[in-house]
Amino acid sequence: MGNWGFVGLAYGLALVALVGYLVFLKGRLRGAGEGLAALERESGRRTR
Amino acid sequence: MKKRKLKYLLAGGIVVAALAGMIYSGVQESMVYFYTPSELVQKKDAVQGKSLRVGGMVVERSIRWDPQTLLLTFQLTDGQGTVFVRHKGTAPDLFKEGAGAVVEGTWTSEGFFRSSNIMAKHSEEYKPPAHPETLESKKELFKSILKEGKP
Amino acid sequence: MGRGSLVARILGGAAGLLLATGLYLGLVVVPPDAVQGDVQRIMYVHVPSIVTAYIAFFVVFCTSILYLWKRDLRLDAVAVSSAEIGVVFTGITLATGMIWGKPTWGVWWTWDARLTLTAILFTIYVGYLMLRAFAEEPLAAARYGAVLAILGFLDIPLNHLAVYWWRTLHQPSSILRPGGPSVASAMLLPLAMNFAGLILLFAYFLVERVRLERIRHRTAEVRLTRGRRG
Repeated sequence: MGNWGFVGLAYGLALVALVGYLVFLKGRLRGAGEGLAALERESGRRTR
Repeated sequence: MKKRKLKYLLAGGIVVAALAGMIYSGVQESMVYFYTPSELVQKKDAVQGKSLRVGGMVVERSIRWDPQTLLLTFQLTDGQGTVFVRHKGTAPDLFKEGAGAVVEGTWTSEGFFRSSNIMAKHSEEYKPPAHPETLESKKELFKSILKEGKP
Repeated sequence: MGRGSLVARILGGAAGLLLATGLYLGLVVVPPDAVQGDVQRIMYVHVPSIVTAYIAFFVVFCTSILYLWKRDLRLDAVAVSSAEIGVVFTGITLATGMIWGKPTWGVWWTWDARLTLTAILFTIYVGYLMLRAFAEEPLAAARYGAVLAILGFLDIPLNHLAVYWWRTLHQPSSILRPGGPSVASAMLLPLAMNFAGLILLFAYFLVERVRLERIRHRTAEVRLTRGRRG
């Protein structure tokens, strides 16, 4: 592997980690948000 | 809930074991990560046959390389003591005369250090190569981009 | 809930712009290093990553102390969130450092003080996250976690001084060093861009991660009140 191969590997890994974390975070946010919305709808119906 | 607790204990155990291992190897190795050539010369009888590291500067005009046998020999110095090193195989690109190096291996009874691994040590200084033409052109390019980059 | 606040979007956008500029400067514009050649360009991602990780763990350190004092779960939410992001940046530092080490030192890894203490830092906060994730008693976990986070932070000043106290393969710091940076001025600009970019990216991640923690707290609250009602 040449000099640029190592540079590409380092930057590539960093990019994958950061984008991967962002996607993971957004996925958890969507899941938690939807779960909470459903729960609130449900309990709202029950109290009314 | 029992399964959850087991998972918890297992994960905690792994982390604690990893930490303990690193601290143990850290105390063992990191404190004296390498000996200087003069330290090694002083206590060579005590450390004979033990695997250890020596770090120093590669003595100018001391590197001998035989591509047939892959035998690489050189001297490491710290200004006071000098150690003769024999190594089978290649060395990193940054390994050169006048540069820093750390070698792993053992001190032999024949009076040289048998290296199994060479690591090049470089300084914390980073600067462009001293080619005035390309440097100037890069600087010009640099300035032009800075100007355009500002809103 | 989906897209995040205006603040988050501005932080994310600014981080993206700065990082794109820093990437271009560091990979294309700036000359290679005199000794190492092009592979030295890994510095522009390696060094800003570890500084960002240090900042993230400093946030954990401060919010953990404040949590033990005020017992406000909002502080704890910031601590957990920041720790998670700090682990990501420490992971990037370790990975890029190994990739930089192989072509320059000749080895991917060695157990010198700097590398060992960075691996310990990573392990401490991975352990912290495991403690928080698997805990059955959230309040107790928050308390123990805070203590672990505060003690774990001590690794960072130790790691900074390690290269001066002990012999290491790793070179001393290039930026935060007595006598000023030992990096040529042309190389400082992409470094500064990526610093700013990663710190803003950290801020963006933190805002979003804390929002996730708030949604989780709210969910737990709704479940609790519903459970009480029967």
